[in-house]
Amino acid sequence: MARSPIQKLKEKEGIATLLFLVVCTALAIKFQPAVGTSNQAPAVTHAVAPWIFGPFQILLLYLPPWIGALIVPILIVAGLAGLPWIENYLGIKWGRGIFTFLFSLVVFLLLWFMVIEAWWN
Amino acid sequence: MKEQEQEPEHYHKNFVNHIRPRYVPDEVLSVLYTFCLGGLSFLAFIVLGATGILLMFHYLPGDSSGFSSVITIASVIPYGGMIRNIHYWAAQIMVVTVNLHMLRVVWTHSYKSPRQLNWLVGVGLLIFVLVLDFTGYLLIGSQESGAAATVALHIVELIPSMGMGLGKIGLGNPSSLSGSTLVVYVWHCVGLPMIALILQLYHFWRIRQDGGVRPL
Repeated sequence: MARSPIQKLKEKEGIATLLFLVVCTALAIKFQPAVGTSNQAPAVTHAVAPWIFGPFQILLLYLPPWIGALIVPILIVAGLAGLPWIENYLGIKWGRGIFTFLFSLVVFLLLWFMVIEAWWN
Repeated sequence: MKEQEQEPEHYHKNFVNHIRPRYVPDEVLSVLYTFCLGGLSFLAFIVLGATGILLMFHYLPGDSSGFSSVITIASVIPYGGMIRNIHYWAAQIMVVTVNLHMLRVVWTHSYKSPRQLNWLVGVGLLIFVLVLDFTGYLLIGSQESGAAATVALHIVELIPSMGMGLGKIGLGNPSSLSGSTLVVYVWHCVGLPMIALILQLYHFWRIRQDGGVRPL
């Protein structure tokens, strides 16, 4: 197997670091993250979760808390963590199918959250 | 210049040499090999650590002090707003790169034997990233963070017999108007990043131990 000195990898990592910092700085200059509502202000009636936790908020909106907040997330994490063993016992198709279902579910909930927050509220 | 020479046996027993060997396979020099998503996630982690330390100089956790210190950082402290913004955006990018990294790993079947343990570590790191993001959100100390802290506390308390204790250990006593507490602050700035850093170093060490990365 052909190999190269790690110096070559370090050069590429340096370029990637610079690009990353440029993108981060550009975003930081262009878009100010919100700070929310002061706790001295009148109480807000509608608190929106950050987009990362949007799927969670949708689950909590439509399911009982113990299912939406405990059982479903635990099942998703268990499905992810157990993927290598699921494939061993049930085969690659089942493993791929379960992963695709779980990932699609999270993406679907995220899109649902974004549509509700962007269009309805 | 291509090098074919082998390092001595004892060379790889050193942790740093193991993670950063003198020579690497030519393939890993290509960006398209893995899209550098794991490396970018670690880079985001480093940026978050550096900007986080700078923010710690002026941030005061607490019911009323949390939010006002964020406002002070964002609008009064020189370059404070910029540092906070970079901290925020690095966190958003990290969530995206970590998820894409997971997709790449699944796409290339890189979770299969002998890499199951490293897959578990990766899933653990994904959860840590989400919890770090959540605790960071609570530290803003806004009304929205108070609502999030209250919801999180109620969720944790659903766990039979130990929910109340876990809630106190993880979140302290947040009010419904501010999620900023000393407990959340210590978890966000010390506890969680330290564990995540150790897990990441182990993650990198295992990648080489398990035979390197698998390409697309």
